[in-house]
Amino acid sequence: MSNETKAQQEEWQQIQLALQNLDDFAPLYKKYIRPIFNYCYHKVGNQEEAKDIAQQVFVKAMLNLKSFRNKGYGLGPWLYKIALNEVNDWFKKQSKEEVWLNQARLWEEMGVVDPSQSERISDEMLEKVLTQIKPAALEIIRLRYFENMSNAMVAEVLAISESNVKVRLHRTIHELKSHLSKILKHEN
Amino acid sequence: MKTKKYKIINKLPEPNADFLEGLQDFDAVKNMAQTVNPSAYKIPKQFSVTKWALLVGSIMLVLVYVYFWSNQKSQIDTQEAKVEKYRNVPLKDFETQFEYFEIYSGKADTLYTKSGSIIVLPPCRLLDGQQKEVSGKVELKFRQYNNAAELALSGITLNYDSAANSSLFESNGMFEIYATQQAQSLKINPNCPCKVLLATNSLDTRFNNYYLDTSKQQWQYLGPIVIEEFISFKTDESVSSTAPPAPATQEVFVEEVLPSLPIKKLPPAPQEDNPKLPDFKIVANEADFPELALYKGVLFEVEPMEAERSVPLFAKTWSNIDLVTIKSGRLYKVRMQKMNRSGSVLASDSIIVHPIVPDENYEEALETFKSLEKAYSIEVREQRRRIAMQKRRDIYLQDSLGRAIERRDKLRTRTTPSNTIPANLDYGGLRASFSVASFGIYNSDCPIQLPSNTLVANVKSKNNVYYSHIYQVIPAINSFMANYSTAYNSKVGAEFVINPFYSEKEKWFIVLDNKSIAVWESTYIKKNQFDLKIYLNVDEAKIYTGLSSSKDAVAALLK
Repeated sequence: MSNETKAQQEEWQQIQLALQNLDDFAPLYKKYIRPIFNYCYHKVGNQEEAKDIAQQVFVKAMLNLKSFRNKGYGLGPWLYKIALNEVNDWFKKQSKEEVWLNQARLWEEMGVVDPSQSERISDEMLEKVLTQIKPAALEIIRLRYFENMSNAMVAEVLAISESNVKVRLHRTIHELKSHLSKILKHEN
Repeated sequence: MKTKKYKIINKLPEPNADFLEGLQDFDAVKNMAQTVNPSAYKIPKQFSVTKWALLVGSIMLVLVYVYFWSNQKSQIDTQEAKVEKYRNVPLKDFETQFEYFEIYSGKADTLYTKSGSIIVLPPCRLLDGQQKEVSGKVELKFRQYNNAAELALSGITLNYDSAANSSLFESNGMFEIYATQQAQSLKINPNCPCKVLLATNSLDTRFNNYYLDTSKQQWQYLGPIVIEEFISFKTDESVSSTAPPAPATQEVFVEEVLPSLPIKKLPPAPQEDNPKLPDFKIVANEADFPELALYKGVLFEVEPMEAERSVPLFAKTWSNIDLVTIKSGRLYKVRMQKMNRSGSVLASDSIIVHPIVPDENYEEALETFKSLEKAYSIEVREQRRRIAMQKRRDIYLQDSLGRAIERRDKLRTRTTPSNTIPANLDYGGLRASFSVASFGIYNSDCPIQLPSNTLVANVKSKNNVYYSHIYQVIPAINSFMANYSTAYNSKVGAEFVINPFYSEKEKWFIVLDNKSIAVWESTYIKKNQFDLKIYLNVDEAKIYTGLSSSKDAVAALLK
């Protein structure tokens, strides 16, 4: 049995225990609170707000643990799914801007820009590009590259098929690339 | 497109240790979970694109299936429905009734109808509306119209337009054939038509086969009448005077005179080597000279008269050598040519040779020849038997046709029968053959040019009854005409533009209600080419009321 499968099995047992006694949810909370907080923090850009949202995510998770269905990816995607909805609700209420990191390394990794170009990308340029891409498509980029999720997990969070994730990812990267190159050309 | 505003930053400040410690406080979160109202924290069911896509897709599939199914049903029903649209039935539910048969799609069958016709089904599957082959039980329905009254009640026009010439059909018999499976109409595979041997009123060669093409709204000419005989080998020479009973023995359908089989020639017997004569080998193409491939190691030996002359020929070098069969089939000619580089013939010669089999292979070749000879004699015997049988059939068919023509002449002088039993339709087993490539209506007809004069008939009655049609039944030619009113005047009555037809037996009728008709005898109708108007008074017609079946209606019209 691989370590991954073993870990998943242990997590499943933990969930079963937590269903009997909420105190047994503690190990799961400790395992996931940081990634969920990071995800919220990277979206809302405020530590306190992100902490509140993350805690709300876990409150919801604890109260709705019965409805969790194990699909082989563990509790993670399910928590991200709740977090995504919570963050979106928060944005609706607050009418604030979503935070995006201008990380040259990630843009290079995605193949959106060449290493020679990455230095030239200003915040304004990136903002211009991002506003031209569909939010749902950007969410895939965020989960896949910023949260380091597999395509299958992204698919589980967004409730779409894995092949759909691949296609959308490819298209979005292509779109980002073409918009950025246009802007760079224009700048020259 | 839905847009969102983004705040671009290079780095978010890392949370400090205290903050992170506070974040790890599970108890605080647990307390929150225990104190809140659970219903307020219920996770709404996630909108699953896949599930919705599946749901919408399956609904679409169901809708598409229902649409195509209904469309298909309407499509396949088209042929029968089209025919229905084409009809002008005078009396509803008074048409000749269908006869139903249970058949199996793909299974050859022979069906005997009450009217004396025979349906020969090949072992081919029928097709559904989507041209897919169907299997299993199929209901086949067939009905036949033999006399003028039945034709008139069918409501199917016998008007025929060909090359802008309008004519009327003299019908020799008309039939309708359809097949259904679970209420869905089927089609015949056009590459595998069935055959209907129609018991007709006549076998006169002036009749032709027609198919009612509902899409073009006209009769389509299929070809001249084809007279065929349906016989069984056991009752080969006996001619039944009635429609044959269901076959107890294997039936054989004689479509045409049997073709004589070409008999392969018997190859020549192998010949032994004559040591006095020179021999040589030529590799001959097996496809061109199959007879040489029958025996092993065949060589060619020079004919005795050529022996002396051949010696110097063998000493020469030839550029080209070929082999030709001489008409006798036993001898061959070897042609030799000498050419220069440019291809011009410098010298040529030829010698006559015959094939021989070397001594070591001779016994085996002789055995092969004996077996070939045996097969050949069997084939010759069979051929002779077939030729004799063919001659017998030719004579028999000629006799039958002669008898049929005699009977036809008798029938034509006979008055038309007053019942619906077909008028004999017995011609020593001979019938008019139809190749049925699609279901529908077929007719054995002869077009008759209509007189050019046009009469206007006025039908009057005391009551203001609207008569849309007036029908002329013409038993003498087994036909009818339907004429349509152009106007209705409460004082004058209904006015019809009609094509007249002069016949002593002619009858005119209108439909009063679903069970009553008014019939005028031909003697009452005074027509001449000067007075173009005739007046028909309903009070002077013979009224038939309380008609309950097609038999009653037919009897009223043919009395």
